[in-house]
Amino acid sequence: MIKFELIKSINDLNQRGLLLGSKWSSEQLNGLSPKILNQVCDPEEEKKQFDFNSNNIESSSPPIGSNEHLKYLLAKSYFDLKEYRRCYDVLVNCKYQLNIFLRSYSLFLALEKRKEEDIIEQQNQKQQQQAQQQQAQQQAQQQAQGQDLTNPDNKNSTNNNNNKFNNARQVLIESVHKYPCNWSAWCDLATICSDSADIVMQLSLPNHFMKDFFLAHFKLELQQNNESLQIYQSLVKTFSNSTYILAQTAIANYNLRAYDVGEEIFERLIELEPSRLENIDIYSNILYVRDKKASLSMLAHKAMKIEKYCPETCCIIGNYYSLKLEHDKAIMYFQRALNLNDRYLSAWTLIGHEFLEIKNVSAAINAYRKAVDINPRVLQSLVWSRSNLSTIKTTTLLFILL
Amino acid sequence: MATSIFEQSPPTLIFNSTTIEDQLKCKIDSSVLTHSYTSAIFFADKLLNLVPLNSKKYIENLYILCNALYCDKQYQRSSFLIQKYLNQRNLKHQGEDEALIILKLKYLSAKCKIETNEFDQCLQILDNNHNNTDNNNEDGSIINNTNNNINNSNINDNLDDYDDYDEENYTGKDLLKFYVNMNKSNTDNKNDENINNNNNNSKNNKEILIIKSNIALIKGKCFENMDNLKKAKFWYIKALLLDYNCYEAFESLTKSHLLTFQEEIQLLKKLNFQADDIWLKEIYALSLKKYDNPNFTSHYNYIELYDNSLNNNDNNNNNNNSTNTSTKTNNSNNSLLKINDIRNKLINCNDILTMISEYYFYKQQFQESYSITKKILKEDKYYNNSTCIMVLISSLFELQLTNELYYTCHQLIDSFSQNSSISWYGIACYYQLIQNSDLTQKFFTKATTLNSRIGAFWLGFGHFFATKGEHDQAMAAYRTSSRLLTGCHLPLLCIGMELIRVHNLNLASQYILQAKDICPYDPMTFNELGIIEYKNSQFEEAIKLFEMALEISKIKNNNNNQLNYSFNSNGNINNNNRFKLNNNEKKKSMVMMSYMESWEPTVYNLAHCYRKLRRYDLALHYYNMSLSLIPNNPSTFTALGFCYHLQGSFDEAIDYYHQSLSIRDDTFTNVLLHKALSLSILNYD
Amino acid sequence: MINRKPTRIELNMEDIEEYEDLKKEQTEAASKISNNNQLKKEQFPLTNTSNPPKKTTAQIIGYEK
Repeated sequence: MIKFELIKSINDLNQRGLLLGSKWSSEQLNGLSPKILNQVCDPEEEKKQFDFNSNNIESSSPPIGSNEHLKYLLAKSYFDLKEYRRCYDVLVNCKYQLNIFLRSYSLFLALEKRKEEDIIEQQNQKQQQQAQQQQAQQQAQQQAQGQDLTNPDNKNSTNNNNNKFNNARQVLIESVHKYPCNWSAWCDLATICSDSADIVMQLSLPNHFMKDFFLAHFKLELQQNNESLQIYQSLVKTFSNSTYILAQTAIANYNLRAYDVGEEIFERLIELEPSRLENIDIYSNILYVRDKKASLSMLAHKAMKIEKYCPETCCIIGNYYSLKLEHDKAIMYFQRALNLNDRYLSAWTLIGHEFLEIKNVSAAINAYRKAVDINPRVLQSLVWSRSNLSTIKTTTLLFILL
Repeated sequence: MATSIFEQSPPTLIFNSTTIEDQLKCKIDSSVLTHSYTSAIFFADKLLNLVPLNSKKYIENLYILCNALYCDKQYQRSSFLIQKYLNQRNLKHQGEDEALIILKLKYLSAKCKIETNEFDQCLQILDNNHNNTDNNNEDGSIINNTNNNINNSNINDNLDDYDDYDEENYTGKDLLKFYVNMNKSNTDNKNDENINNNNNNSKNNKEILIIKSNIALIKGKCFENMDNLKKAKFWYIKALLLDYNCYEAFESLTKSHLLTFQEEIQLLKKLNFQADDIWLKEIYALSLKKYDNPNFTSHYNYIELYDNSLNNNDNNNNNNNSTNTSTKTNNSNNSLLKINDIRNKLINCNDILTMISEYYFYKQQFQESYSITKKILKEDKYYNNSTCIMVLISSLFELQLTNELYYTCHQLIDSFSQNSSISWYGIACYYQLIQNSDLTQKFFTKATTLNSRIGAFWLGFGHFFATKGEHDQAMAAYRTSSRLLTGCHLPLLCIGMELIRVHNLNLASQYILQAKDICPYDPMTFNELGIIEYKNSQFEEAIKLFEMALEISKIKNNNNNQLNYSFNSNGNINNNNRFKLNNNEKKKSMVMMSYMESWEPTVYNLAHCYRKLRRYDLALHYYNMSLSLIPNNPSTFTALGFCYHLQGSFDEAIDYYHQSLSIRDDTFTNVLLHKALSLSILNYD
Repeated sequence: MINRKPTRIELNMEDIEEYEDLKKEQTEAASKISNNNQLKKEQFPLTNTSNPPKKTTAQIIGYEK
């Protein structure tokens, strides 16, 4: 039963600190069409599924009241407050897999945080490399320890950084087979496989509604928009109120340059979720392309009120200034977006466009290079996303980048 | 005989002109129905030439042609042809049937003149109607009688008398009486009754009535556009009295606030609605002024229905529980069920929703009025009901939602390229909200230039000047708006407020009393009167007035209480038992304070009065109430400190002075603080 | 139609006259009563506050009352 699977997944993912996954699961749970929500489940089937899962998961969490459970509670509270190393320290010598996972994951996050901070602080390349190597060593240690079969997700996160994509891929697939409702794992899988589309087809993925979500997400990243739209259309029958699916279809339409359809869908999305900022920067792109100053201005003001310091807001405001032809301010805001999130792809491409506008071609090329580094597929959208690029400029750009 | 162009015509066919006439009439009818006016004109022109000039049919065909020309917007041509015909024809010998169609022709010609904005010519045409008919009743036809009676020169004389009437001395109630007596002086009503009883001519007479009503409407429009609002009012009322279905006249009266509330109610009473049209009467009642007497419950049917539909929304319980708040308890009454049914269906109509939103606006529930109008405009993007847009803009302004106001104004400008003066007004409000005075002035000027006949624009302009401190310009703007909104007390009240600002208290009180006459239920009037008394050091009087203001505002927010008071002959308030606040009740009301935040100034002023009378306990009570309504207000802190200072509690006084100074530095507070400090430490100041 | 806010009477320097008047009255009233100082102070807190008695240096530093 989809409903109970999702409910369970929310709980499990929350326990392990995989917050994005649990947020996604709860969104989809609320997006289920009312018919399915009200369906009475066949009790036997439910019991079967429950048993299957419980064998794996339930045994991995400590019984309530035991020492390990108390440690878990303490560690989790540190984790929630983002004190990762403290959490790591508490969970020393734990037997239960839940605790082991939490420990390794918190160490991983702590090291990631340190790595990013080092990269920002230290301009010296050599020191950067040193820092990275340090992390790698510690993570290798972690790898040896993190043998939690039911939650192999942890392993692949570390594997990413070591560039052992094959390993990571295998581990992720294993994880996904065992526990399908883990959106974080699927996401990571998509990121790893992004360079090779064919490999995905060869992979043996479990037959589950999550696979559809994954495929649709993956194809969207590869810009295979029509196929992605098809999958979403079939998913919409089950998850009719899902705002995630709505947003994804809007993005697909944007990629297909069907701007009016995209705009409509985004308007509906905003009506349903007025305080949503996720993906709304794409809406601001659409408004920019369609030259709708008033709507963009209103969106920018609203975004400021909702959340001033998040990359999506900065991108929206950057678009707004760009439309008003104040390119310096636009660049400032895109820069701010990048300060908040170094790997925010659209901020790189947009800042590249802005540099072009003020004729700073070298900075533009730099920005585009960074974008391509993050996701090589961005080239396709680059050429089409701004209609004011002259053809000469476009061809020279492509020439340089390729 | 037919030429060879035609194919074999059957030998028995004689070129029969009557058949061709009917054919042409058919063709014209179908062309007009499908809006292909060029074809209609073509056929009508041929039709016209088929009959000789002075025959009876000629005039009918002329009407058909000119009607088609009007539909095709060829106004000049249409009225030219009509006038040419009428001039060359001797109208004194009109037969019974012809009188109606000649009237229709004149009406059509007048309508054409209105479209081309030639108002004086239009009036001439309609007045010629009067002058040409003799007072001869030789054939005793009813039509002639009524013609004569409407167009009696008596009426014109009386109207001129009215022009010399001393404006200062009339009250609103007399005015309508005057109009009604006007209409009684002709035998219109009696004739109408006769007409109604006469079954033979009933259809014809109904048509006559409608045309007469429309003629009155046109006259009203002409006068309104020529800035003669008195005569415009007269003719609009006339139009309604002749035919209450003339919604255009009703709208012109209510939208521009030409009538005071008393006059509106009287007018509504005068209209004899038939039993089947009670639903229309309800809707008219709903359109009247909403900031006046809270006892006027005729419009509550719709509002209660709307309230209940909001509450029942969650339970999907749509309107089947009809909410009948009238006193009729007999539910098995058929007509009652019919009305409830109609009400339930009409509640979703845009016009009705607009009026409900206006009601909420004047009740100061701006969130509600905003959401209703927003929904209306979303569903009907080009709905150009100026009330609806006005309520939307004003609600956004009061709620201070700058972002939404900006976006809404943009959308309005895009949708209404023709009727856009109100969009510019919205933009001016937006700039006023973000306090950009240059642009505010620019856009107010633009709005008033585009359409200088909308009083609300001038009123807003006046407010703007007042906030900037430009007294003369504000007075000019207010005066213009008072000239346009003859039945509205707000411009007069605002003029009074400006005069208070420049300390011209006598003149101010005159204006404000005039405003009170027009609308006795506005708390602001009493607030301003109280201020005048305060400035004249009549603190007892001031207290009474401020308390009255607060009571009215409380009642208005809470419709369950009935406001039962009236004015005695001196114009003083005659409190009903329920409302005489003795000491006990005063203490009770101290406990339950539920005044709205917008009346905080009144509470503050009331506290000042008590302080001047040295009743410090009450003063403190009201200062604290004011603080709870608008917290962190430096002037209230200073006033509280001053109160304690006067009572000798220097420490508390110093406390409050410091609180006030931390928010805003102020000479007065500093001086008082200095004194208080020296008093408490050194025992002298 | 948008309306103005109701007028609000603000305190200004003229209201200090009220304060001075009150002081004068209380001073006069206090001088008529021949009670002890304590009662005077409670009833009329603002008396005699405009013209303080001159204090010697000794009194100021508290050496002499």
